[in-house]
Amino acid sequence: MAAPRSFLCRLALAYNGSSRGIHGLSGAVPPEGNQRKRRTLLQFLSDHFYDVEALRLYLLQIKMSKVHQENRSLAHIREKYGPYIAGAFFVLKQGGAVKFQDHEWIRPNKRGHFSREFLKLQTVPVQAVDASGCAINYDGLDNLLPLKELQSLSLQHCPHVDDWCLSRLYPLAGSLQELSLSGCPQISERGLACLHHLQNLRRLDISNLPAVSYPGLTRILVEEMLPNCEVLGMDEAQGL
Amino acid sequence: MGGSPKGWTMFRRALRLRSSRVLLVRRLGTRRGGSTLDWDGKVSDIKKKIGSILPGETWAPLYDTRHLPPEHSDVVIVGGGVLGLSVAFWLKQLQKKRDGIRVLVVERDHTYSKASTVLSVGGIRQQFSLPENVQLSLFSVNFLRNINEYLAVVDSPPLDLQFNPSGYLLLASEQGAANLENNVKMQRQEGAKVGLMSPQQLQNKFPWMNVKGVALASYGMEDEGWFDPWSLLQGLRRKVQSMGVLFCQGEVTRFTTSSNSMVTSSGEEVVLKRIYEVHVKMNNSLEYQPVECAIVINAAGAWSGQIAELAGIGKGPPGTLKGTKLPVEPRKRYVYVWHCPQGPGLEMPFIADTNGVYFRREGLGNNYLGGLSPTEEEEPDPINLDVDHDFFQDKVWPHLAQRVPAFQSLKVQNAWAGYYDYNTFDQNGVVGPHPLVVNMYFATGFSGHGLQHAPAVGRAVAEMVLEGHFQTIDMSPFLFSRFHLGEKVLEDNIF
Repeated sequence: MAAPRSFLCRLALAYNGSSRGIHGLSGAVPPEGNQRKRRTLLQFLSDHFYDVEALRLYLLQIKMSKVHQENRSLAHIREKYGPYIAGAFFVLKQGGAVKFQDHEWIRPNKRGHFSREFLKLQTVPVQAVDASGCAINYDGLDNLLPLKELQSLSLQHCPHVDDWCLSRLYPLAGSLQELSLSGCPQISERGLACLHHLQNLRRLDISNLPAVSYPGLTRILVEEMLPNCEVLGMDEAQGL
Repeated sequence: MGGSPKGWTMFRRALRLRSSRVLLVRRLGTRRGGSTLDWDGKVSDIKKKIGSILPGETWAPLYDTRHLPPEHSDVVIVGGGVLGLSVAFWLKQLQKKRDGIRVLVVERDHTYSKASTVLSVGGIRQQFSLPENVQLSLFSVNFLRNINEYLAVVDSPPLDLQFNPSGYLLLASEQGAANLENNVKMQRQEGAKVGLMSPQQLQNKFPWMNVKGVALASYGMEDEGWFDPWSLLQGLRRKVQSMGVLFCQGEVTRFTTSSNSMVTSSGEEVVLKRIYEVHVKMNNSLEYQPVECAIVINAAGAWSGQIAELAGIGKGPPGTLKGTKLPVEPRKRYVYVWHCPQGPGLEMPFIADTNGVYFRREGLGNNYLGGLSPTEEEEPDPINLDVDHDFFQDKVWPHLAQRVPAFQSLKVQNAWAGYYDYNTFDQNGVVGPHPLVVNMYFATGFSGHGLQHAPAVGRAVAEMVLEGHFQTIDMSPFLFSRFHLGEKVLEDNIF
């Protein structure tokens, strides 16, 4: 019975995905009136049959648990190889890139495979992490926070990075000099308010944040909050 | 065919007349009335009647009962605020069988105009002096962080709680410094991320503050801040309705109980009561519906004391268990919103001063809000929610101006008042069943920190109802029996 079930899953995911895909899970919320106009067949069935509603809720929960699975804590790797290797492995597994001190950038190839050569670099600290587009969330940051010499962190276009994640970045305050949050759909000015712990920050990229309600004003307030930092993005031309 | 062609044409003419919609001739007899005029209306009436008899529709041949609650319900939750809805959510969530438990939430005011939940300032912190309170806060913060997993409803947009993770800053003078340090040690042991700061560090971090009189400060680095309680309430309501919980707008006016007299091992006679019926009266009418129930949950907030009296709690000789009342009463608290153009910026946390004044930033436009809990002698009359502006002038502003010099020039924009469900015994919540009225469970009395503990308390009460004991967090210090035994569970950090 595997074939028909997987077909049904894919069908339901397609319907689900069209209205509430990973990027539809966040960002601007349309008013209820708009939603009533475009009722798909699956929404109609959900309203009238408990089974369909339960199935759709189950599929939604499966999607969420997949994100959890990707962000599980790599405690066993951290014990065996140390925090730097654990953090690097985590980032590479998600599809990001890692740069050790005095080494080149390590990236996974198109198929997601990466060489295990970095396992020899147990005592070399991680200098930069590029987690753009990765499904990293609050729990996944567990693996990045022990990287005490991290200088540059890029979280561009990460769909699950929200205000809670930003409040967790303060342990990196000693070393972090460059932070990029551009394109994250769930970050708002409330999360940006807790970046004041990062006193060594020199470059902050907060361009293209759709959830920030007043970009120009937020930029001014962030510049006041971090006087030694260069703030990029949210130009005054973009709607004050 | 000879026949009578004239008769035939007359017959056809009569037919044509009868089948046409327009009545050309006014008929004398009233046997057929105006039936053909109103044919469309009649058809739609018949369709409506058939539609109402179909299964799933309400059919009340005698009178309309749609606004009344059902006649039977397993659990009746008195009070539809954040605590009541949290209990309803966890009851449905922890019950493995779908529709295994029928829950009815009775709320007097669906606009929540006087409810403590929506008038609250919305702060959440782990900086308490009781380990149980810290655990409750940690659980609740976990719930709020993953709120879109817990409260996911198909086809509804994700919930945005507008959480500001800016942290709490508690200031302590010389006398309170040792206490603060012990509390922080305990909080860190429980897992809260709180740090201590000296006055010098405080001055470096927040240059706009005047640290005179501050000996020590504790700063919550993570998982503390403030959020929008209205969106939490709406999210819970939406989820709980999708899980099948029924809502009723009405007031509980009577509990019908049955008593059972038993003898303890020492020969003392104890009367145990069970509530088997709840009378729910509709607003603005004398109509009421008796709801047969198995369990009643008292989550009525500031009015829990009245609900407990209806069940006969406290009616007995003082000093006995029977005569111990539920010591929860409404206390009025003011919140003021002011604008100060030179005030602190984005990095400002929720500050609680040494004398109990608390204030925080609100939005991006240099607006701030805060208040102060009055002393016992100055308690305002909780009869209505009118605001006393002189209280701000005389009691709150001097302290604000002393702590943040920029607040010397400020302008009050707005003010409101709300109720604390104040526990006069020890200012901590009451959770769990009553020893004598065996099926009434309490979830009330949190005196100003009910909102931040609501998810955890909801889970505790649901576990008590379904399993019979607390599983995730041990809330046995908060049971009702402590009022009779006189064991106070005091919390220092209440504002």
